[in-house]
Amino acid sequence: MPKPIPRDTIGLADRLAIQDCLLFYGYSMDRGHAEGVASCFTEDGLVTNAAGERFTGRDGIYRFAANAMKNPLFRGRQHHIRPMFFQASGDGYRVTSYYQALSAPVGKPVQMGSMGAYVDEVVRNGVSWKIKSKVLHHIRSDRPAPPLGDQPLLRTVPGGLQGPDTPTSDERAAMEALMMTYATALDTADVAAMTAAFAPGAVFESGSVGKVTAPAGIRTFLAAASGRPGFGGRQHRIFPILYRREGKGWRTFSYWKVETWTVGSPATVVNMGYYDDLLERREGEWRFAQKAIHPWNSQVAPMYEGWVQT
Amino acid sequence: MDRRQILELSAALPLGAALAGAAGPARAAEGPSAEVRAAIQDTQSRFVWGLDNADMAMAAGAFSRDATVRDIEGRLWRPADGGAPAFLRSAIRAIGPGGSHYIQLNKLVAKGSAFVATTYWSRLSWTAGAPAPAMQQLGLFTDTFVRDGQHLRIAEKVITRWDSTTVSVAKL
Repeated sequence: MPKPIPRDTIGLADRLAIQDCLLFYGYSMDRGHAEGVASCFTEDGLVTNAAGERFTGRDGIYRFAANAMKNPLFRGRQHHIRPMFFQASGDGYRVTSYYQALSAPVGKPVQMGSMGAYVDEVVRNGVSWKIKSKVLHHIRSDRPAPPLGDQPLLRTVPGGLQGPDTPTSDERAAMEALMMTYATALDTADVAAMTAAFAPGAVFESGSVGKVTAPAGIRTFLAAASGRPGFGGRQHRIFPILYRREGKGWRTFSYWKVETWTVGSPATVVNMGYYDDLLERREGEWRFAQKAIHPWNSQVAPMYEGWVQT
Repeated sequence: MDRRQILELSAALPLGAALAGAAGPARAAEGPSAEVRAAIQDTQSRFVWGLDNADMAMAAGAFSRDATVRDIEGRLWRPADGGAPAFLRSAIRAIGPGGSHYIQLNKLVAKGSAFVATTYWSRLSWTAGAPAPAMQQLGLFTDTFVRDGQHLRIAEKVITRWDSTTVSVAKL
């Protein structure tokens, strides 16, 4: 048995596993996978939406998700969720997260649908976690964010239960650092940093240059991308969601979006999509062994096979 | 290079150069431990939540006692000028309610016993009556974190815009 973690702290492995659960909720919703949404909850789980309506139990939560999915503009949405604060609550934790929901209808600019905060109560379920209660709050000038409550915000310490099919905390930190190195290298056209992020021979696939090979192909892609008018002022935002062991490395699925601010115009979201990456440790450093860039919009978002447009 | 020099360099250089300067040589460095990364993200969360929700105690708690802040207009808030609390009071008044900052920790490097973090930020706001939120600004935080007991707090914060005129994009 691992050493118990004091209740004024949270083990990093637990924190990451909780984060995985909360992000999988958004990912399942975005793919039209109502069963996947319900599976994130305990049998007696509860969702309270921003209007205060309550959906109880997995059947109720399935109905909540299925109703949301009936929206004709449903396909092409992404929820970007950032878990921020962890507090002790009963046998589990209370987690407060910012979220924003965006949609990408083909032929129109990316639209911001809503933003706000989720307050989740989570409980342990083996090495994973389930949501016992989720409350959705919009944050608007007339609707302040929910109060954080009286319990202290927990400090993160080493430890927690490490699942057998998830990367270690250090592996995740290193892989996420690599993803962020990619983002800044791309946004500043830093060819040295960008090529260093890829293993020699890595296959890189994008809509703009097709399938190319590192390192020369990375330069080709970067030159094409950064040479477009209006490139300066962009930020790539990356949200790793899923990790799956593959060979010596980890296959990862991440949302991405591009925000930009051109002087004289409002800041906007230019585009969004997903990455299908394979990361491997080569000579002591994590590198992309494969990267594929895909769009996510109302025509091509990869929906759950059981999802039906209504 | 000491923390003062990093602050001055970050303020003086175009953003792309500031990022490269903070990151060191162009390599996919793995950097500080996962726990340090999490602790820094916790402190950043306290800062943005405090700022967004006018929670002075939470936002001020993200800073060390003698912290300095260079704001987005280039004004330097030294301890003698009221330091981080004075900056926060001014910033909270300026941005008003109904906003959220979304941040992404892009680079984290150790500098002696401190850590320098470069972080993308964007600010969204949603005004009552508007059908949807709107993005207001993009920028970069260049923060120097120091240990303070069990916490990592911000000793120096440089806030810069990230826009088509301030970002340095290499010509390839």
